Amino acid sequence: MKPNKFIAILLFVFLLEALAGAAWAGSRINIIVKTVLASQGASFIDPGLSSLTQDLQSVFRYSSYRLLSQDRMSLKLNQTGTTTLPGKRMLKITPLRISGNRVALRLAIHKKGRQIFETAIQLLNRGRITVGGPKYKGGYLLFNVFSSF
Amino acid sequence: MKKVPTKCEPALVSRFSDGELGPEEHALLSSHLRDCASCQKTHRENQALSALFKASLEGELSQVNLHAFEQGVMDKIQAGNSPWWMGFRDLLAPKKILIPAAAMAAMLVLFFSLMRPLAPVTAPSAIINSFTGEVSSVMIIETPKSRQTIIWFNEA
Repeated sequence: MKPNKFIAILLFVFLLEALAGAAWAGSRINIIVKTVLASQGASFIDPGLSSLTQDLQSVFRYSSYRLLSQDRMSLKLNQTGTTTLPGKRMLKITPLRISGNRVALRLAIHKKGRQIFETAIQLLNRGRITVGGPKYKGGYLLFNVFSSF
Repeated sequence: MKKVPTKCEPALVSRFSDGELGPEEHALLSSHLRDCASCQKTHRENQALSALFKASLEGELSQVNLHAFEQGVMDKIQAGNSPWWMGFRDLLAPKKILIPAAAMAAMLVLFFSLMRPLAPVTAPSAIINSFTGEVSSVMIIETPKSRQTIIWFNEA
């Protein structure tokens, strides 16, 4: 193959990669919600929570972290996604906008049809935030939200 | 003046058959051959042998690609004079190597571009802009090393 054709192929590949990146950036926000039960019971670390518990154990003294559920969403801007939480609770997530390397999210927790908690945050791309505190079955619920775009 | 050969000389006839005699000797032997049957026979045998040899040689040569042979010799000469990186270029020139290599490179570029690294730990994972709720207390915590943001609240 002539050198010019080889260079043309490489340029096409890089252009394709740039377009793919640009397309991803503006289309959807991928969100993963993990519901965790933290308690002082028998020592147990769920295998799916190893990286998360390392962070939590730096500030909390719970001996057990158990993954109760995991939900995935793919949301457009201003589209609300909902996931059911233990204890008749519900988590609603709405991506509002993307600013640089952060996505503005609105998080709201509803209990028995009534909103009890709402926060507006700016979350890093491929970053996570943990919201916790509600009591449940001898422990406390933690909701870990991870987003990427 | 040279004498006309009176004694048949096979070597001379052979040279005559091969056209190797000078003009004078050629003329003298031509005159001798007109009268000498023995030398005429020798001359005919020499010509037949020469024709047979020529035909055999041409047959062998027709089966040889002299152009390819010449090109091969020239290529070897040029290879000895070309810089070391020319061999690398020749290695990549064949399509069966270059196109799959380009395709593999493209796939690797796409793969690693999708596997982006985790967000750098130079800023908190989340910035809290606002908070409302039916809560008795709330704490905003940042883990020391990874700077992960935690909101801890107690329901009212």
